[in-house]
Amino acid sequence: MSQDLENYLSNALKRLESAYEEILKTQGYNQDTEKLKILCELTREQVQNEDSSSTAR
Amino acid sequence: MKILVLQLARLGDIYMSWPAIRALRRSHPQAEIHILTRPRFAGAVEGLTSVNQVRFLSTKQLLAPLIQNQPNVTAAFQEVSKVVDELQSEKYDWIINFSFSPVSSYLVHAISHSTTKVSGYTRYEDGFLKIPDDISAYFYAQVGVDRPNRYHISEIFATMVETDLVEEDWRAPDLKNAWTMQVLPNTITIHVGASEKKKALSDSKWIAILSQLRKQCSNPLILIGAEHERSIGDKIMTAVPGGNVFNLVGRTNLTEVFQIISQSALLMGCDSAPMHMASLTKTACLNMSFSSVNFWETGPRSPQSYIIKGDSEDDFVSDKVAAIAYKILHGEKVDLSVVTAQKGNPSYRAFSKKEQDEQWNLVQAIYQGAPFPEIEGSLFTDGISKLFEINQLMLEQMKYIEKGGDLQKVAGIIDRGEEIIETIAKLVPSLAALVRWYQTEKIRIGPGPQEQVLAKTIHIHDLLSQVLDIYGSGQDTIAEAR
Repeated sequence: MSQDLENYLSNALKRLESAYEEILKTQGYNQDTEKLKILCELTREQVQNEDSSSTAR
Repeated sequence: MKILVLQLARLGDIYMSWPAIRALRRSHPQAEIHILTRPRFAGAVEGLTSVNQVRFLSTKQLLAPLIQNQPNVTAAFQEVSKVVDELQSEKYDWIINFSFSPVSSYLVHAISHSTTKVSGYTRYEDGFLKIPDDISAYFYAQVGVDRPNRYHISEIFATMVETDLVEEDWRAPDLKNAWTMQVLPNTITIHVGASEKKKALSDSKWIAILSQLRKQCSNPLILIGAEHERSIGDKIMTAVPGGNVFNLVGRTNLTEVFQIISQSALLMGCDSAPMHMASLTKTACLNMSFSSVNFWETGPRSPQSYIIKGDSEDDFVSDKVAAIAYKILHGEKVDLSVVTAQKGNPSYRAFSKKEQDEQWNLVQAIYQGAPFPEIEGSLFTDGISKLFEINQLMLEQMKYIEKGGDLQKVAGIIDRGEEIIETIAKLVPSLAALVRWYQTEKIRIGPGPQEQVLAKTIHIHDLLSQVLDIYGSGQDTIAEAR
């Protein structure tokens, strides 16, 4: 992964996590919060190169 | 019945899922079966005719709005919503999550309905991890590198779909009528790369191995690998003596790789997708497996396959590797120090350290009712003793709450107890599997009324007590129990 891409994703992850925490406080855990969480985790996977990791840990 | 299988991991994992998906089709011949995978691995489901529809989770598309200086969270959220809503509208009766990842667990919950049966990781309504089925709980606790599991991932997947595997489930893609490539007789296919650099051999090591092999046989060699591994193929071509070497690194698609492997006498390589493809084509494998991999879980499954283990490529001594390859080709017996594939479970015969065997025996005792193994050593005995004390202390606090006591008064003691149990597992590795079982069962309790949660918690502590009693009562009791 290029450094630029990694920077974009890391930056995005921080924003997403912050947004998630904020929405969790105000709305609780609901469908929208969960979709945002999915987005957080998809981004985190890319930052950690985990969509290329195997099933077995 | 409509079933969704999630397999969001890599090529090799997808191929290891094939037998279980075929078994699922056998046990549910009328079901509509979908598979959700990543678009970059689409080739790995070609020829998997047990599946009615392949769906894709395009990470690239979902994250595209975020790849800019000012990430557009709203746009990315809308992309995710579209995917979730579309999958949710399918109203799956059964979702089987082979992915065991945070993403997949949230996704499964998001697309499930109240009547959807789920196997594998999902979430509770409050977002906490939910592990509904026993085999996924086993996976959570005991599967991975440096863990004691010896069941192959393919067998674990089969347990998740609640069907035993049969010989027929291990077969090549149902595309054979379209195959046109012809390979010379007795070809040895060499997969020069691996899914990760740390699992791969260098070009110089391959050259050394193949040069040694050339001293013993003149079988045709076909080199395969990914586009970015071309330079390895080129170096091997120029250095290996004897001719009859065909360099197809970066020049084949997955269907062609299947054709090559299925017609080969032997596949040599490290831990990667071609080895799992060979398991389906029943092509013998010689697998060089690094210690970053648990070979019990992800090794080759074809008959006449062998695994050489190593911490670094120095451990794969070239003339020894070549000699083993020669023996496989000629049906000769291979050194007992080499891991041998076998039928049944576990899938391999291997010499292991005593401590590793003890851990595996402990796992079988916890999960399958096998006798609890005798484990010697003062560290283990001390660990049991400490665990017993902490467990009793925690049970006392819970019984106090059960009788109407104030939870807040004892919460700190219970939390501290959990920390100590975690520490015992780190200090006494021979107790780690038991502690992980305990911790996983605690996770599985899930949210609910306090009385219900408390009853379930006490039950787990009681079960732990029973195991500790076996060891705490001395060796005679274990012998009597047998």
